[in-house]
Amino acid sequence: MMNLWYSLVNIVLPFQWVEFTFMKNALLAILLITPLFGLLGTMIVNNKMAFFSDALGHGAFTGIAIGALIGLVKPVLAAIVFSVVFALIITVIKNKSRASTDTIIGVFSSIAIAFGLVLLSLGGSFNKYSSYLIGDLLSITPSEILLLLVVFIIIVILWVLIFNKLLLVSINQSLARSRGVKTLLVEMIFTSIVAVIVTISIQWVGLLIINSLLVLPAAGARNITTNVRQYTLVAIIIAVFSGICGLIASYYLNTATGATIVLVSGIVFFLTLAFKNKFA
Amino acid sequence: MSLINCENVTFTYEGSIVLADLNFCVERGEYLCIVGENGAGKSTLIKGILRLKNPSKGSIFTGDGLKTKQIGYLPQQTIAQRDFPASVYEVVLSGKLNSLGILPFYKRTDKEDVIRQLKLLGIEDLKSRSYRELSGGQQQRVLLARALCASKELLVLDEPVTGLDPIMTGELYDLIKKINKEEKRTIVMVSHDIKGAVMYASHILHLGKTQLFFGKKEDYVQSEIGMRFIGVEEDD
Repeated sequence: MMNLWYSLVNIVLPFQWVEFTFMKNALLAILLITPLFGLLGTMIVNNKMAFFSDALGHGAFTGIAIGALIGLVKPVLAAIVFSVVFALIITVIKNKSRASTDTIIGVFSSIAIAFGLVLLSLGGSFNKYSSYLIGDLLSITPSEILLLLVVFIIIVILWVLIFNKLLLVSINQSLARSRGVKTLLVEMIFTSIVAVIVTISIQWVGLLIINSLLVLPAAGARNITTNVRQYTLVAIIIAVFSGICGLIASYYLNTATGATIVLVSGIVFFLTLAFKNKFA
Repeated sequence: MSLINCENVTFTYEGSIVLADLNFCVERGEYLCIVGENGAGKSTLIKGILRLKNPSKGSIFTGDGLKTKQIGYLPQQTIAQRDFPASVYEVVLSGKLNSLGILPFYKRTDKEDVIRQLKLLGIEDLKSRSYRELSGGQQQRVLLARALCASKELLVLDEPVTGLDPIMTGELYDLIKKINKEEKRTIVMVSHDIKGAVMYASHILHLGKTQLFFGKKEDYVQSEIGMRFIGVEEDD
């Protein structure tokens, strides 16, 4: 399957930046990750959950630390389990507690990141894991891309199934509950999806900037769209566009790919802001 | 049997009583307005009717084949809702969510019903407009259309005229009355706007942590509490 992809790229994109196999792998990974980030970002921005998704990144980091501590070569599976549990706990407490959501998320987020750092620095071996902070998209392997493809398909199916309910929950929770929507369940499914994609991507994008990739495309799309369909579509387009442009730019500038993608997203965001009054 | 029957209902939050000893019923075709000061328990009662909050004592029955999910509900607007990039059509269509079941997509009949409700409320021309660009009065009409989509029988409206100027308020009240009379929908409306309530409603429920008055509008305006409350409003 990968050979087919490599041949296709050679035919369609006869450019220098995509000559190397690792760049072809990275391009395919971007085509799988960025639409998901654009899609999920729409609800994160609407529900004012940017701080929450940032905390999920911290939870994922702790999960990786736990995975590494129990001796897994690829700690990502332990990290997925941990960050989904972490996301579910915050979601349930947020719904049941009367304390401020920001405070609850802040408490969990701080503890998670501190715990992760303590675990990974045990015995002074933190340098080995510092790549999780800034990520390395160019190191992605074909088997990891296959994992991404499976996750991509599952998330798209789940999204189609829960989208209308999720939309109503984000517009008005009591209205959704009065329609018989199990709002906590819907929120839990959504936060689990975000936790999974954030955790899987963190090794390639990096903890420090992963949240920007979720928030910026949707925030930009929100500036220039008038309905939900446009909003979702434009968020995905901005995410994919920023991903591809960021990858190309990082190749020529020799910079960190994840960070370059975020910078492109940032530029697109400010452009949409400038056009805000014309469109919406 | 009454559409809604409230028997000896008390609501508590974390052990403290917020609304006690309610006894009233709503019959088909009536227009009940629930009035009272801030903190009187109006929104709590709405949550009880919608089964979003269970009474700590007593029971709220729905009768005449009415299912809770079929109650059209116009909630107070949230900030997220006001600034959501959704078209009028999409907002109204979300009112059909209870007919979805486990299916992910809306049916053709759902979409036809949306157009019917938009026509009824005279906002069909706004169909493709973004909800957040609309005026307060137009937004409330859209939310009313969404509530109508969900309802076969009963509409529950929580402070529908909040934030509207007097002209828009009057227009919205006229529209609600039209829905009550011509579309034969029963209305339960929470309002702090007592004048609107008295002018349009058939029945009044006055709350103040408990049931201070329940009965026909004509009796309310003659009652001591009615005269006092209306007087206070007019002084304002």
